[in-house]
Amino acid sequence: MSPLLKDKRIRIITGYYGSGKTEFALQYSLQLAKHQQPVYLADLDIINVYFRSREKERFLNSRGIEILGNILGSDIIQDIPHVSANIYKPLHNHDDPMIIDLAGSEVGVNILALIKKYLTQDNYDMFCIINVFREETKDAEHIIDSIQALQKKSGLRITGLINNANLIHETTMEHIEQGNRILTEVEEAMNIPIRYVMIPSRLLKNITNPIKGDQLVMSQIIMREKWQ
Amino acid sequence: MTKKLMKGAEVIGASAIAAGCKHFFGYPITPQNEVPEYMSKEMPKIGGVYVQAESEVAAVNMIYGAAGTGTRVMTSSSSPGIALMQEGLSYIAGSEVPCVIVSVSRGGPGLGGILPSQSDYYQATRGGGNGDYFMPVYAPANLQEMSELMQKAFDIADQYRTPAMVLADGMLAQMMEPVEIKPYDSKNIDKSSWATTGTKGKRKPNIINSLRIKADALEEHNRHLNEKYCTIRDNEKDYEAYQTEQAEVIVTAYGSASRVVRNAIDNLRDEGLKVGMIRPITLWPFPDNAFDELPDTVKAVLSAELSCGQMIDDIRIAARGRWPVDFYGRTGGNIFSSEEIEEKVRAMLKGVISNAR
Repeated sequence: MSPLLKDKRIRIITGYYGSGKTEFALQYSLQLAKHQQPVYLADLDIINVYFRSREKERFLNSRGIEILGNILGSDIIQDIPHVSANIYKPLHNHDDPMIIDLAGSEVGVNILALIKKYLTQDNYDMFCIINVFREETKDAEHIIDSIQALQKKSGLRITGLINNANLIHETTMEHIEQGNRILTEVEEAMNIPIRYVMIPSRLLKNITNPIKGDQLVMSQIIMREKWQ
Repeated sequence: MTKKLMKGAEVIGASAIAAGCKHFFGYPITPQNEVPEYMSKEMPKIGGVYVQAESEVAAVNMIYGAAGTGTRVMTSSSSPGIALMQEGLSYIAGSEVPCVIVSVSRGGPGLGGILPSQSDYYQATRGGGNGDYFMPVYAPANLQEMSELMQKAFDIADQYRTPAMVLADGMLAQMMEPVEIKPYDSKNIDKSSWATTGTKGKRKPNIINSLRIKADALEEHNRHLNEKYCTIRDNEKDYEAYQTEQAEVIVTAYGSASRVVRNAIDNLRDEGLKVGMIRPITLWPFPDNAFDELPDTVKAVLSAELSCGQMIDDIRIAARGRWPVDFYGRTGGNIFSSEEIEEKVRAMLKGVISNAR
């Protein structure tokens, strides 16, 4: 059984801004859609106007993923923070998997107030994406502060850490191992498990030391064009 | 120092601080809001000042005032915001005070859009301010280079007592790349002859002024400025020549557009097609010398811009009629694909060349 099927029905994706939330949400949705369809992916990033999951709508639709978020269409032509009522569809039904891609940092979780009444301990997981090569989450102390801020602001518990240690195309196995070391400290201090590790497929052959978390293998980075 | 994964806007702020920037004055506008956000957090930590002005007009005049003290200052804005700053830039150039302006361009004209664009080439290199003035304009193509050019811009501004601009676009400000912000050993330039730092009753006041009411005085000042611009032209042109050996078609592109073009050239070279790129790093002074060094094999030049064609004017001047200069552009926030450039170049190699925009 895919480890993704063990997660709760609603998966909330949070983390410091620039940690790779959208990339995780997309990679996770694509993996999950291999087992369950439709997968609802709610783009609740009302802060950023660039690099949003709804930019990839056509590609995702073809793979059984439905994007929720903006009735104005997927073009980011509107500099308007706007959320569509269609995000309630998978909250009202109790069967289909839903992935919620938030904006970064504490301000990004504000929007959860809209849907909090639908969340119970039994129906959601909240994953915190962490890239230890971002200045604001470079060590356990900073990460713990940031997780506490996210939990306080949202009133929800983070249920899993995601090791997304990376320098985009320059990522090596050593970088991922460094993420593993730092997140292990956080795991022990906060009693929150490392649930997934994001790993480029080209590095699979280089794994020599144990890395915590189920592997979310990326054959490509979805949110970047080749020339980026 | 190890590399960090950084967003373009953070790179702008962190590099400026590493170069000794002490003050930031600005007004928010997409797609560069993360620059003021970063500076508002970081400036107090280094004993500097961050002020969100009531408009871009106010911000540029705060820059003018602070720059008059010889302190390293900067602002950042985007297309319509930079348009509002033009009067102040002309005064700053006329008064010869150093500062750095970051222009993160988006689509225009008018309010335009919020997506990346290169349609502010004229605005950056010709300016909208009055009078005979220029300013050095740097066009980074990746975030490491953006860091290095930010730091250089502060030195160049001090060295020539001029505003200097770093021209990026929304793509570069918003994207993330691994970057090392290197500690920067800034040139220590003596500013005591002109900076308004207080006379303490011991010297005649230094006066920052752009008004010269007498014809001869203003003409003399204009000649002095012109000599300075000639020196900058002689010393500061910068460009990258990529795969120009044996090239039959040369694509000219800067900033984020050059990233797509580089990809296209790699693909075309893999097919055995002889294509290269000139990538201007300074837009003013324009690196016309790059074209004098091209091999005899060149048959045509293409300007690839995220605009309807602005840099093409400078390319035509630099080409001096030696080759036809064709154009390919996308606008509105659309970015041409590698395939679009490859197709255009293939057609040019077959002799389909338009010499008119």
